Amino acid sequence: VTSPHTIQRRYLREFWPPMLAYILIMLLVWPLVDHVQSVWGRTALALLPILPLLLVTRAIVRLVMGGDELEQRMNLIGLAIAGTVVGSLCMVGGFLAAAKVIRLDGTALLWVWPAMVALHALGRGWAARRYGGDWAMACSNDGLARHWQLGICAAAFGLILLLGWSVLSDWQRGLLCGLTASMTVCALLLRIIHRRKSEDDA
Amino acid sequence: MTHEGLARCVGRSGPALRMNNCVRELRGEQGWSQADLAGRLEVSRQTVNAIETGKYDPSLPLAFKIAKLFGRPIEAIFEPGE
Repeated sequence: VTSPHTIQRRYLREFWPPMLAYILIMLLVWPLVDHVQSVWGRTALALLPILPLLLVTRAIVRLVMGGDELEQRMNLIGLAIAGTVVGSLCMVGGFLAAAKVIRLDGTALLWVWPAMVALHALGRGWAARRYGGDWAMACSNDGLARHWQLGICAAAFGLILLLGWSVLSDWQRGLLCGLTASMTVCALLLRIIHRRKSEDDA
Repeated sequence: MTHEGLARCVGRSGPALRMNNCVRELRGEQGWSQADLAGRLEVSRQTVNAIETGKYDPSLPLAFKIAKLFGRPIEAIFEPGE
């Protein structure tokens, strides 16, 4: 049987390479879709980000399946909250669009998964606290601390910003600068909170 | 552990029936940390902490695993709360 620590390390090993590939594809390759004329070429390029996302999905499924019973319960609570909130928001958006109060096109669907991930994390964090856990930890207290996760994300976005500086649009540069800076600040704040808590516990 | 000892163990009152348990005391007798026990039960430390503090009642298979690890009958470790 695989230990929780090993499962966490396996998850990080399986999650980050495809996630970085996804980010790179979205920033550097996907914008080329407007320059491709053939339908098949556009379809292939448009669906290219799905490939790394499938690997990310596999990593998440293996993480959840490898968790113990309490972790699986917390994931279920997080997923229930995320599904309910996102589904309700989709209904609200759909009704408003049908009544022609707002205009929505298909690209709004791109926000479904990020919203699910964010709300799942919040719901799972809430459940973890309910069971005596810590908001600042990842999947469990044996996992990688949240400040390290945010730090890695910030470093990844910063690296992509540097590597793609010449090909990125102003909007993309601004987005990456904002993400890198905000994640770095959040990581530092969480690190300080984590350190103070450790000192209090000691 | 006696019934009186078990009665002093952790439990949580609430709308749902919760279990009382003596996992923390038994772990202390063995001189194990929560991480040690988590490793032996193949669960996370958070799960051990949640069981010890009465915030989570383990499934039947996990409860039997705990009982087997401490070499006691399951009813000597877990009992229904009031």
